[in-house]
Amino acid sequence: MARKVLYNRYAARLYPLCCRYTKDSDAGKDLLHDALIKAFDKIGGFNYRGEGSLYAWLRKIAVNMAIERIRKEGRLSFSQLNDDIYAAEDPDIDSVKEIPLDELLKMISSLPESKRMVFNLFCIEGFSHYEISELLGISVNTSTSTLAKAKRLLAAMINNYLEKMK
Amino acid sequence: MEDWTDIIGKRIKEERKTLPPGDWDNLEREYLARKRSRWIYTSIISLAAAAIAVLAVLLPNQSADINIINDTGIPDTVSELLAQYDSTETIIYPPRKRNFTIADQGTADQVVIAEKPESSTEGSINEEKMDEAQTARPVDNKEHPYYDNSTEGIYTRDRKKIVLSSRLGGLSSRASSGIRGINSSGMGIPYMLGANGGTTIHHSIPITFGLDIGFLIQERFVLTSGIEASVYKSEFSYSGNVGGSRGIEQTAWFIGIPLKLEYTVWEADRFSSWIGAGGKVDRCIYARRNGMDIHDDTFNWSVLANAGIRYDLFDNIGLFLAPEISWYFRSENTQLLTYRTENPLMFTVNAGVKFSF
Repeated sequence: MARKVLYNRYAARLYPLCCRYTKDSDAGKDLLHDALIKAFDKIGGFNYRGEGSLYAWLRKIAVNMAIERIRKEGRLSFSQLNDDIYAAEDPDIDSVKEIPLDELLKMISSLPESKRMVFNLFCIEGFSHYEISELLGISVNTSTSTLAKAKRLLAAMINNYLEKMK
Repeated sequence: MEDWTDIIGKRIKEERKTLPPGDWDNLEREYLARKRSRWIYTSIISLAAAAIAVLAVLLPNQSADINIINDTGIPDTVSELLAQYDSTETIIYPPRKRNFTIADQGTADQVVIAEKPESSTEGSINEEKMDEAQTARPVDNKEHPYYDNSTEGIYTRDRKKIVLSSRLGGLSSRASSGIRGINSSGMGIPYMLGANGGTTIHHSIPITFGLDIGFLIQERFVLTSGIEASVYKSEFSYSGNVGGSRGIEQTAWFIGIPLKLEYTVWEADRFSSWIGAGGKVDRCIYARRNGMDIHDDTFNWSVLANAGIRYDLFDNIGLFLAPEISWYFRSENTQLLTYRTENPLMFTVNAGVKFSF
């Protein structure tokens, strides 16, 4: 069955993506199901554009649905961005490589919603600031400044973690 | 050169998570259940729309009574027919005048025409409600390391290419009803004459059923055409100078082809709205008055402008409401008296279902 093949091939990749945009793994699974059901319905409209295009298409659906959910829940707010800019230094690249993935994910998930969203979209999904501004309905400047703050906040968390591990 | 966020991004991007056993079965069950409920929901909406359409057609006349006294010198079919019914009456045709005067209902030698709004065309574009980003690369021109080059362009806004609409149009209100004179020459208008009586005209609510197809020709622009059927029902009743009254019914069906260019002005969540403008040509395919067929092969031209709002029930199905204003170019050759021959400027509301592909 084509649907099952699609599931077996991509669900394990999409599941962590969905979890990154939700509060917990259960909500992540719900989002994954919604995204896959939507993909099953819309598969006729998919245009193959080379290797990786199907995953990119599925990812696009999942990300859009995640944004839609967060918007509906009113969790996405860029109005209170006049917060402190953290003066944390960039963490050492080699040290970052040694941090367990679970720890990194925990740190990212503890970022405020808007910062986490922009960080995920830019640093993990690879969207440009222009694309993020379109997706979230914000200006490019807001996207860049939010990302800068997210990075500073995350750097502070990582530095703190590395200090503790010493 | 990589920075620390690139390292994090790369590591997270490669993450895989195993789903719990039985997850596929749950997903499949959920998918089938949603599909079933969607089918039921769509069926209910379609049935409701069909029921509304049937009711609208079957509803009795709701127009105001109006009196017309013929002051033309042309004996028309209806007058002749009425004369046959009431052979005791003498029908006198006064000298031809080009226009009627306005008077209170029931006053002889004067005319009052009631007007009813008429249905007309509509169209829209369907918009992908999910926002999707553009193909532009990062604005700072920095080549982002996680941009998936193999899928470049996949974020292009993916609007639906084709929109099919089924719609039902009718009057929005009777606010446009008014009183106006009629240029009766050349129309064969069924003015019924009485020495001291009058003619009352009832125009039923005109109803339009339409099927449209729209093609996305450019970002936000949709070219829409289709076919529509409109029915105009009228009743002419006559009261003679010896008492009593006679009634004549007229039903006319028109087939029309609209052509509109529409532009999506706003999209948010499940809602979208558009404005549009275009034209329409239609022609009578069937008309019957008092049991007699009427042949009228006049082409009726009109220009129109509309605005609409759509609510997406599902990805491919949405409901819409589209007010429209149109202007009919009156033809001097038409043999039919309908609402639109009396009231070229019309305001109507269309409602229906849109399917996007």
